[in-house]
Amino acid sequence: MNTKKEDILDIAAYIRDELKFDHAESVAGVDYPSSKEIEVVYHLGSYTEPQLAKQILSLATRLPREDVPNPGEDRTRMTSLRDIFYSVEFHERECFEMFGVYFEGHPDNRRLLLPEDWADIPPLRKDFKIKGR
Amino acid sequence: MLKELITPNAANVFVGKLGDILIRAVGKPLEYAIDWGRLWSLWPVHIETACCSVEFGAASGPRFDVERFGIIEAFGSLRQCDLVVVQGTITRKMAPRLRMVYDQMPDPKYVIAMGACAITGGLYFDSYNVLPGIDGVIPVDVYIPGCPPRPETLIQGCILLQEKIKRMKVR
Ligand code: SF4
Repeated sequence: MNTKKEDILDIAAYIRDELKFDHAESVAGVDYPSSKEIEVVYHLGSYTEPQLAKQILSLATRLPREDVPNPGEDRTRMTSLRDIFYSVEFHERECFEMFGVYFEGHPDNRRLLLPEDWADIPPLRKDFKIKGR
Repeated sequence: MLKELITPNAANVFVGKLGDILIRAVGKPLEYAIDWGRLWSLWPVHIETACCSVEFGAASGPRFDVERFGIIEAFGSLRQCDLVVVQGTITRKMAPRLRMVYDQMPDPKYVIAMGACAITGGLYFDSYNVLPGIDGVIPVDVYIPGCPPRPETLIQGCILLQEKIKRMKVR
C-alpha cells in the first residue's frame, strides 16, 4: 500500500483501528538514487485477529532524497508512526541512522547501532563508499 | 711488562669483556628459562565476537583439549592474561574496545587472529562497519586462516605461537 507522506498518519490509524493490524514488524528503507527518492516501508502484522496472523501488510511512502545528506536537517523527513504503532520506536531509530530519514515527533532520536564517532553519510545509501584498509 | 698492561684503560676493557662473557653465560640460559616459563602458561583473553568462538569452544572440549599444550582456558582478569585470541569479526565499533583490552594487559602479550574475519574481514570485507583485518589496531603474532578454522588448525596455531615465544628475546 503506497501513500503520500502527508496522509500516512491517518492511514496508519485506519489500518490499526479498522483493519486490525496492531503492530509493526519492521521498518525498512529503500534508496532510489535515480529518482531521488527514499522509500520507507512499514511491515504490519496482527496479533489480535487469528485469520490475519499469516498476513503482512506493507505500508510504503516516498520521501525526497538529498544528494548531500545532512540527517535531521534536510528534507528527508516524515511523521513518526510511534504514537500509532508503539513497536516502531527502535526501528525508526535504526532507519534514521542507516538512511538519514528524520522522523518528526519521535521521542528519542538518538544513535542506535553505528559507532559513536561515525562521521560519514548514512551507510545504507547507494552512494556510500567503503573505505577499505 | 705486566705493570705496563695494568693501566686504568686496560682495566676498563677487561671489566667490560668480563661482563660480556658473564651475560652470555648467564643470559642465554636465563632467557631460555623465562621463555620456557611463558611458553607453557599462556592465559588467553577470548574476544568472542562471532562464530569462530564455537570452534574455540570445541577445541577446549575433551575431544581436542588444547589444555594439553599449556593454553589454559579459564581466566580471572585481564591483568593475569598474556594472550589475546580474536575469534571473529571485529566491527569498527568494537575496534576501540579491542585496543582497550590489549592496552590493559601487562607485557609480554601475544595476539592470535583466528579466522578469515579477524585477518582480512572475511565474508564481510565490503561491509560499511567491519574492520578489514585487526592488524591495523593491534600487532598480530599468529594468523590462523579458515572460516572457521578447525580445532586442529587452532592447535597448530597455538604451537606455532609457542615456537615463536621459544625464540623470543627477553627484554
Ligand atoms: S571467519 Fe568465518 S567462522 Fe570465523 S567469524 Fe568470520 S564468518 Fe564466522
